[in-house]
Amino acid sequence: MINQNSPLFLAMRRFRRHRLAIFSCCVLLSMIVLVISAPLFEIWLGVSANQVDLYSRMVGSSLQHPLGTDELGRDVFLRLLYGGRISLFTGLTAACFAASIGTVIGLSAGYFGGRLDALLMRLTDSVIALPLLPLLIVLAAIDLNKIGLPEAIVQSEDVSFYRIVLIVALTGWTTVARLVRGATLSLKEREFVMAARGIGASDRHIMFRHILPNLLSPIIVAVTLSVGSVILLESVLSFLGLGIQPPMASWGNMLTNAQQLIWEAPLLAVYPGLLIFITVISFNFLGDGLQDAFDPKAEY
Amino acid sequence: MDNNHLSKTIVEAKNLTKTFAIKVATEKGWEKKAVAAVTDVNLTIHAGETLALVGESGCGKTTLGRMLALFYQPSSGQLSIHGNSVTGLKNRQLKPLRQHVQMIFQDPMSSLNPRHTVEGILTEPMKIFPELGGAEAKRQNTPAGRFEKAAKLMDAVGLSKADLAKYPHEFSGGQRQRITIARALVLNPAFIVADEPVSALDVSVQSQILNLMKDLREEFNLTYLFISHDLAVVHHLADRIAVMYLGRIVEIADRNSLFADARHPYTQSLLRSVPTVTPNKSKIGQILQGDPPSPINPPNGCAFHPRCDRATDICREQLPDMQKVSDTHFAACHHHEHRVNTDSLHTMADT
Amino acid sequence: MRWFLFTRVTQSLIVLMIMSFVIYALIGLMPGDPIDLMISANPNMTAADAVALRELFGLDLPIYKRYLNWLGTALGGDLGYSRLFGQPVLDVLFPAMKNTVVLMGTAFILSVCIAIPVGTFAASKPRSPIDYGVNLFAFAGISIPSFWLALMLIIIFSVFLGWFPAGGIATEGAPFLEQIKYMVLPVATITIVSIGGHSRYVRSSMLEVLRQDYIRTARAKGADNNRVIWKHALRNAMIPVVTILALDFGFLFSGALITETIYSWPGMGKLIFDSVMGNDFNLALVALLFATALTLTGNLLADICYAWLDPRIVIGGDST
Repeated sequence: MINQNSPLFLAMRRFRRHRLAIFSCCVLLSMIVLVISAPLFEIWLGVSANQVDLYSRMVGSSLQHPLGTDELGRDVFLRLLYGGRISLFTGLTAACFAASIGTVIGLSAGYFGGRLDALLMRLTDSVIALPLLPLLIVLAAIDLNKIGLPEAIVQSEDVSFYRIVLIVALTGWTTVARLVRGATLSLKEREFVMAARGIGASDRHIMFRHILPNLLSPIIVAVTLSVGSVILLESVLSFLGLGIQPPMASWGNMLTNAQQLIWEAPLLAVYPGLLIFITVISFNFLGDGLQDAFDPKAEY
Repeated sequence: MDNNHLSKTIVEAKNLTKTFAIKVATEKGWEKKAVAAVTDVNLTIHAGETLALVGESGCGKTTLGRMLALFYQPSSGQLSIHGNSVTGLKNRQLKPLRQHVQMIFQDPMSSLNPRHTVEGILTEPMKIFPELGGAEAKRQNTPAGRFEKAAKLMDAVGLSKADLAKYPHEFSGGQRQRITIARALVLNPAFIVADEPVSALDVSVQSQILNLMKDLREEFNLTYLFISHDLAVVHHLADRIAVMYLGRIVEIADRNSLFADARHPYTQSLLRSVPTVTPNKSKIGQILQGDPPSPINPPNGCAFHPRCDRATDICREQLPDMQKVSDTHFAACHHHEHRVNTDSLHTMADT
Repeated sequence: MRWFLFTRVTQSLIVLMIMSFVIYALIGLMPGDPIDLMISANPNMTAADAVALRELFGLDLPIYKRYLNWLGTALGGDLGYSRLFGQPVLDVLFPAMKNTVVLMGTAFILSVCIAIPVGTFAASKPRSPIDYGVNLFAFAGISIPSFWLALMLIIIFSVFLGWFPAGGIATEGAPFLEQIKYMVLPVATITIVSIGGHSRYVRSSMLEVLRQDYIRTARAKGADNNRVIWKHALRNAMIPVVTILALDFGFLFSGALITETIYSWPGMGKLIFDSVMGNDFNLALVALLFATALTLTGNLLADICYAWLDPRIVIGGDST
């Protein structure tokens, strides 16, 4: 049963007034439905996403290939759907992973204060002050054999996915950490925290049962906003050949090939980027709407 | 300080002192300094009585209250609650003692977690203390049993069982304060520290809450430490009153003696600021001038002397001891023999 | 103030030291190593030679010892040779830095010059169509993949219209107009991406200032609305804007890696990318360190600017 007056429900009611965010939400939901149902489209079109057909390379759109084919004769529409799976999944996983790291760091820094706080915040400041993209490229270029990972993992197909999630999470936690720390500092002074201590609650109980639920709305906003930037980052790295590796399609690596064919088939470069753009801007609008809905000044 | 050995002692404080380390900016950057919020407080509270703690904001009454409610560790001195010494105990070791002491906070807005329902708030203490109250209570510590107890408490504080499903923001200030009182009662504590429980509320609601606290005192055999800046509020409820100034207790007496025969000039000026039905009569002598001095640089001698019109050389040099006025009345003033006519206020004490 | 400067500078130096080690270690983890490259280049070398060379270059030592050795020679002024370019690292680095500054500087100035009036204008008429337009554009700016924008610009202006070259840089000493031609597309890319964020920042900073009492007083006195905004408010709104600009200072040098790579603009960003991809360890190491040092400097400058411009912030002053 949903309590009609719970704080989250009230926020949802405010959110519904935000038309652009609602629209973005619909766009994202339909995109998710589309990419999930990719295998159905394969059956319907009678081709599979990675099926190479060198006799029909770079043909225009037709009934059999709604958006034409690429330089190997693969169906562009299907590859976009499968690429979308990877991009969306990477974005959501990495953003949640980064948010978890940021929450733990921000919560401990804000709650325990003192030296731990000073240390963690200097760390955060330093990570923020680094030239991120160049360093990400180095991280993405690391030879996994050299850090002693077993051959089975290094050779596996999914390794590029895990690598990118890890890289993004390792650098993307700072925003959430700062945000959570600030909110924790102010929540810690609220009397309900003292009241919880008064009934014998442990630090862990106070952090996770009393403070964390009150941090939920800023964290949700931060995650939504960062999904967009994670998808951008993934596509950049994949575009540069350092992210998701072919034959696995992602919107980023589909653009890599398109760049080389820009004179012959310029349209191939349009679709994946357009999808990235639409997805990222939708997440940003959604985050903006959520931010307004969760505005603490409108909380009661 | 007290001759009544018949009733049980709930709180015993000896030379209780609390200092905070603060950072003061100087030419060379930040410098750490210790500031005493509470100094050398001796206090005994007996079972069933209500002791009021009165003073201006910043006098240390909240700090003292929080020490007695086990939120702050004393910097020095001894404190025992319910017969258990608490000095030097770690947070974990304090846990079993917390069932005996609960606190009611000033701001009912901020003392209830906005994300928890009232049921969640009232059942939480029972979940943290599953072993409490013997075999019978243990057996009832099930979701249904906890709900039953929460409903009973809601009834006791004048709210309904149906309100348990609601969130704090759905209640008015007075209702919220009723909820914090109910929460304080969940663990059946003997002693409750109420820190300005009504000062954030509308005047019309204040007396309702005070009456509720009075009723609950009889019903649950409670002992209160009632902190307030307002003597008029305290007068309703208190058996004894302690007046604090700059971290020290300067006068402590049973209610009638304090209102009728206050000896400390600070208490006298506080009494004068209480509105009465016959305003002209009460305007005798000094009205409090200026602000209290900073606890970072307390004055020498009696801390009150810069604001006292009775101050002499001895006040500027020597800290006054507690002087006995009667068996139940003590004042820390070199000139405690000096009496002023507070008769008009006496009428108040009798009501 | 002096104390503040001292702590901030020390902190930045510590971060730089740590990062130099981290980067050194990371570079060591990249595929291949210098000896392998030598072996593949010279078929006459035997396995025994490789071991001997490893010892000669100290590559068999633990990582921290190798780092300290490297740090010693680097601080002595010897940053090594670039494998890709066959030149001393610094001889490669400085021209690249110059190219980046030209590219990023132009784009940066353009973006700021457009963002300040646009943001101020949007703030002066909140909730107007123009305000919404600026907001939409800002969202588009932070959401668009810059490499895709670059590709689109190439498709439109190089492939279809043929107005500008698709990449590269004019040869040294080419006529000015020729040089400009190569710059248009990369500059446009960076400007479009950054302009939205910049104008949104100006807008919110301006709105904040307009809410202050002294602006209301100026209005209440009957001062002309435009005059209030452009004369009184803008100057105060610039304080946080300057901070952001100083933050971007770091980016001026580390460069728009993606834009430079796509347009083959020989700047720092492309240099870092090429050296990482081409196993040019010396160059990658030094270029990354430079980029880090400059970004840290930008942050430091931003902090100092902020403290210096805003008289409300007292640093280590007297407050009791």
